[in-house]
Amino acid sequence: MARMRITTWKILLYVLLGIVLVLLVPLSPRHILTLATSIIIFSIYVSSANLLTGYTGLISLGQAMFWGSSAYMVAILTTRGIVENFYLVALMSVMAVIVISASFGALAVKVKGLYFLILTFAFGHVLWCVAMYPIQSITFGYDGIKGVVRPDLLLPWSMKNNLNFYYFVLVVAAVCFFMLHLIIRSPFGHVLVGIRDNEHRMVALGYNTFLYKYISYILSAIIAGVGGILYAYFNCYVNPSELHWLWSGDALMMMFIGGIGTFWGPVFGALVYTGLRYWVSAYTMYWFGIEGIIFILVVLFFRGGIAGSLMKIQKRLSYGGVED
Amino acid sequence: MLLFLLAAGLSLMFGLMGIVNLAHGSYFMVGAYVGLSILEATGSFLLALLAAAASGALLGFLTERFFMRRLYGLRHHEPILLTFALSLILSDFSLFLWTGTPRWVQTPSLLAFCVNIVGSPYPTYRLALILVGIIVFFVLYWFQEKTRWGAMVRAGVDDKEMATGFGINIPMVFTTVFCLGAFLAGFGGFIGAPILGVHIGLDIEIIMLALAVVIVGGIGSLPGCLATCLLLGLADTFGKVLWPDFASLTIYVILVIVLLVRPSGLFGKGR
Repeated sequence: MARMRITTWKILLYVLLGIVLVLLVPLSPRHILTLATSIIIFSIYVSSANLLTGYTGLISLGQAMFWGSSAYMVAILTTRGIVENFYLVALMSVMAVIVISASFGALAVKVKGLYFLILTFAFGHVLWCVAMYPIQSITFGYDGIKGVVRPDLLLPWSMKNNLNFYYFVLVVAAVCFFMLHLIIRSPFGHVLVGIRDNEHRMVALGYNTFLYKYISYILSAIIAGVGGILYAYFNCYVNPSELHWLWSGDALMMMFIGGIGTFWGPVFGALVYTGLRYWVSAYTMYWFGIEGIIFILVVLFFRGGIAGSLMKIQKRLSYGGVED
Repeated sequence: MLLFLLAAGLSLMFGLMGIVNLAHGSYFMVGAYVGLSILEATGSFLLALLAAAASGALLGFLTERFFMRRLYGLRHHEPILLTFALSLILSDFSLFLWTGTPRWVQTPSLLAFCVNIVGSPYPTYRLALILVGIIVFFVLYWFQEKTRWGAMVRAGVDDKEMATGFGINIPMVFTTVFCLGAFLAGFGGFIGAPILGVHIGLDIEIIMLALAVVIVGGIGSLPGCLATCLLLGLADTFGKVLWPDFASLTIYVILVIVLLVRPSGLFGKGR
């Protein structure tokens, strides 16, 4: 009984989420629509980090590297008129991310724990420094790249319309989340969780853990890259801070607020974090201080984040259901 | 050398407690700001220096006592995130108290002249800094290797449980080390101010360098820390001369190479 009740609840929640996303958000004022678009893009980004950190157990400070490089790819390709076709641009950006993640990943995945964190940070920082100084003529250094034009999808709807773009982002996000769902539920995903929980055991069981971690790293990079592509088109601008390691830190923050290692946690995290930042920034310039305070509260008292706390409540409720 | 003051404390904490304290740069920055305020209020460089170091130690004490203590024994990432959050708060707090204008500290008049070394002028203040760094190194080294306290710290680094078994009050040792590290950071922040200036964002710049030093040098190793500071300092300077475009990369490239080739650091114990 209890189990059935929870599944019905779940379906109801999904339907509700669908209604809000597809119908209610588009009806809301314009600034809410833009906010919602960025929240959805961030959800993709945070979920990508979650695949690596939450499910595989590798904490990375290099996620911005992939987001940033694909965003820069989009900006460079389109503003210089090298490639106009959206699908080709997206494909090339994803290819760039694959090349970068495959080459850095081969080195990074070899080290463990804290060293992985610092190594990914160092890689990210090296890339950032390269983008800022030596190849300044291409990336325009600290100025970022302006003048990205919304994509032409070769569909009847113009992406210059914010509502249409919102739906486009929603569809891409749905595809990403579906892919993530498939990855996590697959035998491959279960091996990743096994590596997170006890890598030695997985080695003993005969798994090539390096390969699994490596693939997880690349997959996570690709999804982060998709986020970067969308964001570049969304803002029509690439900000250099999107390549900086603090941007990776943001992903970790959102993930921890939302609930690490849970499927919907990153979405909650992106929602709360981005929403709060939007709301708080209107009143005070001290957003970082407030963010810090929220974060300390999460680390000290709600270690599972929002999703973790919800799951605890749900568990309590379902036990109550059994007793009925 | 400045970096050494900071990195030594960080390295000690890191080695002893397995904690990456990202708030360490904030002690540095807040120390510099406090020192600056005291200097402006009293005009005494020495008093300002003491206040800066004390503020660092106090912050370190508060961090350890109220936050870190709850997290010992947890995986690595919680302390990292917590100290990162703390550094955000301290950064905004400094922005609130001292506003965002970059400030400079006047070099104390006693040392505000240059001497000629091998034909080129060199500011005395920098020489004094190097001297201070060397003194701190020896004092720390002596403390760690020769005193009873140092032995307790080393015991804690090597085997926490065993040390506790011998009746050493590890939480007490932890607090002390944390304070000492933060003390050095605040101290470094102020004596570095005439050279680096005091501005928001200093915390992040400095913590990245210090982390690089600690990792390259080998966690918990003082000589490693000193040698790496010299190495990275030299590499950075040479980098700026030889390939100015890539200068900002030099340190991180070294960091990457060391991590890949010898993750325990140049002077670290092998795994």
